[in-house]
Amino acid sequence: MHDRRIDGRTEVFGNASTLFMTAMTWYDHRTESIWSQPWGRAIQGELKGIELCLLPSQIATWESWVSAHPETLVMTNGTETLGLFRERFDPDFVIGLLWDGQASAYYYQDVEAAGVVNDAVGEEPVLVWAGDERFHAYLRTLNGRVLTFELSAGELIDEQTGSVWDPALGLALEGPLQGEALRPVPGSTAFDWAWLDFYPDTDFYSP
Amino acid sequence: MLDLSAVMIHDPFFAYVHCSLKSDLRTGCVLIIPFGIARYIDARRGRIYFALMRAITWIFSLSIFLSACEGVAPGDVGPIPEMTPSPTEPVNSLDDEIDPGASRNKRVDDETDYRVGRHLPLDAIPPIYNPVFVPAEQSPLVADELILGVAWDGEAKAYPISVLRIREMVNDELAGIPTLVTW
Repeated sequence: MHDRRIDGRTEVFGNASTLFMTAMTWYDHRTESIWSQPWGRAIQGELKGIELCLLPSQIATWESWVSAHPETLVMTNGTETLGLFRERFDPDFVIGLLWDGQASAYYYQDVEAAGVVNDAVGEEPVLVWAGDERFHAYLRTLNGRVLTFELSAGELIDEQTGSVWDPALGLALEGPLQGEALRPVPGSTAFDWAWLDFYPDTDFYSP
Repeated sequence: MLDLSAVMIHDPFFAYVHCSLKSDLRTGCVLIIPFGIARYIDARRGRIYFALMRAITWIFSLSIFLSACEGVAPGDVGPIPEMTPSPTEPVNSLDDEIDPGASRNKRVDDETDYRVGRHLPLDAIPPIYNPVFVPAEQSPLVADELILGVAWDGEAKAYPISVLRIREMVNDELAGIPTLVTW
């Protein structure tokens, strides 16, 4: 998910109906420049070189999403196709995180097996949590302090204060840090080879 | 989203046939064919297979295309809303560094001359320009349906992934931030 403003001006994007490096392309209605989706960047036309700001988003089951965000709205366009596909993470599916020009990627299965991963994107410490076909990634620096997370009896705990965290919200539910929130890391999901095509310098997490 | 099965749908001819037939055959069975092929490729996990299957798909698509090219038209896009520059930069309480409030598009110096083929009309797979939402209690989703979710500033939206797979793009906004959702 991207912020579709360029220098403060809102642009409308459509489907350029062609492939670039086997991945989708967009066009913007104003200039009809061609954009590469994985880069979020215009690769041809007047806006070439402009890169949209990537925003944090999550993939979750409806059940877990609505319990974390009861105020949520649901898009209903095209819902005649609902239920046609039961999505699951394939073994070569990764979550790719982007921070400050650095990229890290994590296989869903590795993170799920570990429960929680304390890692870094470049120099930036991050927390990656996976389970129930869900991924969540947060910066684990809070108010200048780097937290380290572990699972204890199924609960996400930081070792520094023992506070209990909700992985879906990045929110401390109990303990000294109650009410504090971690910042989500912008990222995307992709097949590993496709991610590498676009971000060849990626650090792949290995357990 | 760089999903192989989605890539299959990206195949231009296939995409056009896919979109055109979809409006005629509302049963969804047309959609299942390419995804079945894609699943097969996933299982083989090979790019060579992908290239091979892609070639077959093109031939297959072309034959359908030629027989079905009468009366086909990309799906109805609907009116495109008037867009105006964002007057203010909202403040996000949760994360001010990756705050969606600031429009932080970058400029990348890139002299590479990328080659991108143009075979099909723009929006051959019609994006969603006018998303419609209902509150959670009216949701048509079942519990284990996967969604792409976004939340900030006390607002949250969920986009069913099975819909994103078909339509691929949504022009939307959340808490005043214009967003582009893509799959």
